[in-house]
Amino acid sequence: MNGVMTVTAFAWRQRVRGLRLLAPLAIALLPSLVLLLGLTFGNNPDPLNLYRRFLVPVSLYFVLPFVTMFVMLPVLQELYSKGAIGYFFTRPVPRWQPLLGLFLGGWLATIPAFLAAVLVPAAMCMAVDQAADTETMTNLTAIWMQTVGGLFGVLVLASLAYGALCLLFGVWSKKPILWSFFALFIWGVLFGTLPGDGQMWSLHYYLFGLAREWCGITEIWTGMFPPVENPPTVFVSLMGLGIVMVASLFLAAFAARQRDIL
Amino acid sequence: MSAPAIKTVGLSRWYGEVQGLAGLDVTIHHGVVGLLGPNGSGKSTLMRLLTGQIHASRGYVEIFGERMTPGHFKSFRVLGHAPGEDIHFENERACDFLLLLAKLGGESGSRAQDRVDKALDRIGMTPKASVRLREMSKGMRQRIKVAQAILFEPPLLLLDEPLNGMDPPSRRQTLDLVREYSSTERTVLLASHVLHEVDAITDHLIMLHHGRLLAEGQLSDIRNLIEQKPRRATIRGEGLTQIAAKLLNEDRLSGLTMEGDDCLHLDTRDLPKLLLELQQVGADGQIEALETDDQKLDAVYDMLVGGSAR
Repeated sequence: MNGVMTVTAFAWRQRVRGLRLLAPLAIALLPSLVLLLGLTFGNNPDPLNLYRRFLVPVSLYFVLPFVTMFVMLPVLQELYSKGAIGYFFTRPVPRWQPLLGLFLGGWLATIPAFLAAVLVPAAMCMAVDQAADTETMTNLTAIWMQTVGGLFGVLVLASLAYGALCLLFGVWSKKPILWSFFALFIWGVLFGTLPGDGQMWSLHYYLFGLAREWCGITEIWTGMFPPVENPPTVFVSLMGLGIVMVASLFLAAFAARQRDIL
Repeated sequence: MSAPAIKTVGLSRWYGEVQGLAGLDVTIHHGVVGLLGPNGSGKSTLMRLLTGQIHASRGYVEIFGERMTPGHFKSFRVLGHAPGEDIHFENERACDFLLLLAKLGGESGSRAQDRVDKALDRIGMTPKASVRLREMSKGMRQRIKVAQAILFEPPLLLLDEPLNGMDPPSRRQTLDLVREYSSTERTVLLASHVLHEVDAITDHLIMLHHGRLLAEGQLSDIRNLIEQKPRRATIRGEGLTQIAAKLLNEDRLSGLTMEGDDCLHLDTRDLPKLLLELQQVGADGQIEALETDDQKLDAVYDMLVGGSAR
């Protein structure tokens, strides 16, 4: 696994060095801009409610797919398009090892953007959300910590599954942007927010399940969340994400043996 | 190892309608072998097939007796490859790039670092170890490509156009490395479209043209083959029609072409005798200039491909 870790470090360096982190960070901070407008011009808004009802779903609809695509797709696409992946695939290790390293390195590079996406708006809301006494303030801080930590956990886990899908498309197709857009936005976001039983076939359905549980969102109809009568449990959600990730990585390793390096 | 370093059997590759390689049968044991051909002749396709980077449309490759297919990673314990394409790891320092590949190859810690140091030393790039690849000249990057191929000192080395962009001292150093490498019963397949580069280092050649094997063997054998083929002498001067009339009766002449009034092309299978006869028939000074095709590698190659390849 020494080789996997080395490639992980390489991929991470590639994605965070220089100005490459700017685009994902800009995407991650866009909801903060909207929130700033809401807090400034809103009619006495409740910051925690605002964060839960709008920031959490917007992060799942917008920040998650865009950041994942922006960071994960180039990890492999650049190497394949220039033929440089051949340097990794002409070593005495199975191809899944460098692929896994690239996947993990890319995934780690999404974390700064996700941290920015959850912490900046939370800091803005918490600055407004002041309690009168210390005890209430302590409770409020704990609630905020749970909400922010929960959202961060959902984003990080979701990017594992969606990132693995991006990796699969990067290996399997010469048009990974198109396929990834379809998978993340059509199958994920759009299909997952349509009412009805069909939404459980979308990966986003399981993200909503996790988000409700981990961010303390108990009402079925809450803000921008889709109407889900029976949200999945945490266990089922984690299983759903895990299956997609493992299956995608397995298929990516298989596809890497099939695709020619030209 | 008794099995040949490289064996290809009916190896073919098509890119849609385009033929990259057609039914190649070659066997290579040890020493330096030059893989010659103009751009688009199939050299890089063969290199990719040998390293399992692309699938064969037909036929197969064996590396030291083991079938090479995409994903057959075990062969890379005995095979180092410097591809023709540029490196592209722009942001990496040379030492980091090599360390990455050494670790990916299975080495760890100080042993990986030792391999990197040794490879850099062998190509004379130790002083540039900390330079980023984007800041290096083409020639320096070429040497780094060679360094990554010899990291594990494999018994088989595949070098695709390794001298491209190198300055003369770097070329000499790389060629010396190849000579030294092959002197220890190892095999180097060196692809090039620049004929004198290969001519300088080996006389064992594989010549490709339009994806087909044009010739294979020792350069001297190929020259013998050439000697059995018509060769050309060109004479310039005045009164060449009279000389042409005299020579027409000669059996050894296989072709005769007048180009204007002052140029005569003569094709023959016995060039030395023709030259003797030309001395006799041109004794009164009609022949001002005499040229023959030479037997240097360029000429051999031109003749084999009908002069259309380069």
